[in-house]
Amino acid sequence: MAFLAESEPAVILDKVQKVYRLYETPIHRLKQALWRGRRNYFRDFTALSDITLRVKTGTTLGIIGLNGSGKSTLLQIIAGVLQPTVGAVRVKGRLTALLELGAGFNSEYTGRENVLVNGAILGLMRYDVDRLIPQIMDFAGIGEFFDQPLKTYSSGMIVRLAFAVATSVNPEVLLIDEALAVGDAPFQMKCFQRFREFQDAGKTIIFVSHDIGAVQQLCDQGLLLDHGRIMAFGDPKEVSQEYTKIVRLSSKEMNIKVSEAGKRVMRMGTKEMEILGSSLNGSENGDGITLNYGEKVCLSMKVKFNREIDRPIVGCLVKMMNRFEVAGANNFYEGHALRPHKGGEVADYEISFPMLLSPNTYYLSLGVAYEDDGIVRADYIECAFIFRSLSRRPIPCGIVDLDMEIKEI
Amino acid sequence: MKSNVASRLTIAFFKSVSLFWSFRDLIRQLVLRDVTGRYKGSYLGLLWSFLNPLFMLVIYTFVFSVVMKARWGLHEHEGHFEYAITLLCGLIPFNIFAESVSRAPGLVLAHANYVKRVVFPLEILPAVVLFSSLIQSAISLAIVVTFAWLFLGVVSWTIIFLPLAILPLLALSLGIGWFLAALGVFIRDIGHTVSIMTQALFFMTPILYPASAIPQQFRPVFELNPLSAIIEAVRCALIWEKSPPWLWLGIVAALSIAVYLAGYYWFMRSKPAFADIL
Repeated sequence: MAFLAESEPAVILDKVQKVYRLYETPIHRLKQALWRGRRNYFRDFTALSDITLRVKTGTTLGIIGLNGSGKSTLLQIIAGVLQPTVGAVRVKGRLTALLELGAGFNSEYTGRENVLVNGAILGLMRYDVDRLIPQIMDFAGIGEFFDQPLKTYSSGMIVRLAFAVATSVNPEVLLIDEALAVGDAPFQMKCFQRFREFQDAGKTIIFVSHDIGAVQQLCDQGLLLDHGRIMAFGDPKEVSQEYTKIVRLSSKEMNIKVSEAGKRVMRMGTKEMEILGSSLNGSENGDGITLNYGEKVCLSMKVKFNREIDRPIVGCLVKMMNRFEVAGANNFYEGHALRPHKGGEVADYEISFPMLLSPNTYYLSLGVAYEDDGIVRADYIECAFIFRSLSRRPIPCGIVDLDMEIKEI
Repeated sequence: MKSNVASRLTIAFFKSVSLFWSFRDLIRQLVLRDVTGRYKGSYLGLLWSFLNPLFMLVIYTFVFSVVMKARWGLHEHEGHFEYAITLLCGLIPFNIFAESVSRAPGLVLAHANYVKRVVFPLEILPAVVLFSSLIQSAISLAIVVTFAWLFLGVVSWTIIFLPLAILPLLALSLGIGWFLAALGVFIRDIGHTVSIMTQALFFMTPILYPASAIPQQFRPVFELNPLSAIIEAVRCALIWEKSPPWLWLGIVAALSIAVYLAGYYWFMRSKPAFADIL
């Protein structure tokens, strides 16, 4: 194990376990204290179990996992805010943690006053903070709000300030808990720049995210947690794939009932034509589909004709979760006719398109209709598929990624 | 075994004292914030710190000396201000204690985000409260002493003994503050209990009356109260122009340091559990 010596770990976790005692009522907590372990009034809840981890100095580690998988607990334990029930944690060097936006900020005080106190909390002397203030102001970019009370800030401004302070103190280990998700695109750009500077300076960064795109883009290593256990550790691409599997599994467990009920309610039409089945990129189940940017998406459906139709129309519609229509097409709008079918026949259709959407969750509805003195809707399934799109780059901007080329001419 | 306990106590003492040095900037920031926070948004601001004791002096003089004709009764020729000044020399030190003790139980609860979301030396919070009230009280005491000097002409060199009376008070308040701050996290009723207890303590301490007025059979009870010794010592130093009751004060000082260490130890031991409960 000689190679370990050349890059010493910045963070070491050794068989860390975190167990919470859950009490039904506060009285039980008191009883427990009075009985001093001779009776038990609690249930154990294991938030983390058997976490052994070595993060080498200079690595950027992305922690991903579903809600409640123990990501934040792990980060809090590394930060030293929570104590592990079993096991040991060692961190080398000065550590800064951005666990929650503007934690330790007081909304009655101005940005400047909060920076002074926050700097002191992070272990800086007054003259250090005074020296850093121009830099912090510049990075936060909140202008004259810097001398206004924090209660007048938008949440984005608070993030800017918090991120500016946390990264200005020049920590050796930086922990970030989903803080980057807020803030607008230019600020995210700044954050990623700062991220790169940190990486170049050989600092250790550990951050928690739901965005596998960001993890793949920024991290040297990924860590996947599920139910408090390490499911995968290593190459961020592979870890992201494992995560996608877990997402698919859990959405099968939880969401499928909802969307099936939704389908039944949201299905309408004359039933002169009928959608027998459909699949999106080979997946027949409606949820938890992940599509990469640029990937060719193939929607296929099997349609039964219950009577003779001369001019059938097949189409689909992509919407955002807030029902905003993103894209849609059918062969009538596209201006070409499909072959007529007799009653009782079954036909297979395919709609394909390249994935150009920005990272987000979308749903896809599909429908069949025919042309006869206008368009008659025969069968329509709202929200047949829910899918997530993954970006090719860390910073999303807009709904569609047009893969714009930028060059000097 | 004995030396083990002694060395651990010594370590705890030095650790707790080094706390004030290593976090001096943070403590200063927070004390400043606490002091100015009281007057934030008011027009007169810090001037209130000077006006408050002035008003108290005037009102107490009117009520006790003019209306109730109360006399401290230590000598024949008592001036008008003497009762109020003697009273305030006891009340102000008592308030240092009462304020830091009654704010302690809610202290960690009020800073829940410092517990769970940032790495923060929670043990300085009771010290911040104590220093904040110390600053207020120092201003008040300075005004009272100025009055004593102007109207009674009593202030003499014995004022150099004042720190010897105040230091045990700080150690005692901080020790109890640490103890209650930690306990308040686990048992939320502590806050109410403490406010009743401090009220009772107010009347059990010779603040409104001289210690000499206490009947002989109750004397031991009052002598057990460390605040009695401290207040007597403050009055000796400031207005009675004599040296403090050395033996009594010495015992109280030793007791205060013991309370200080025990409080610190208790706080540091229970601190890791805070995040799980809040």
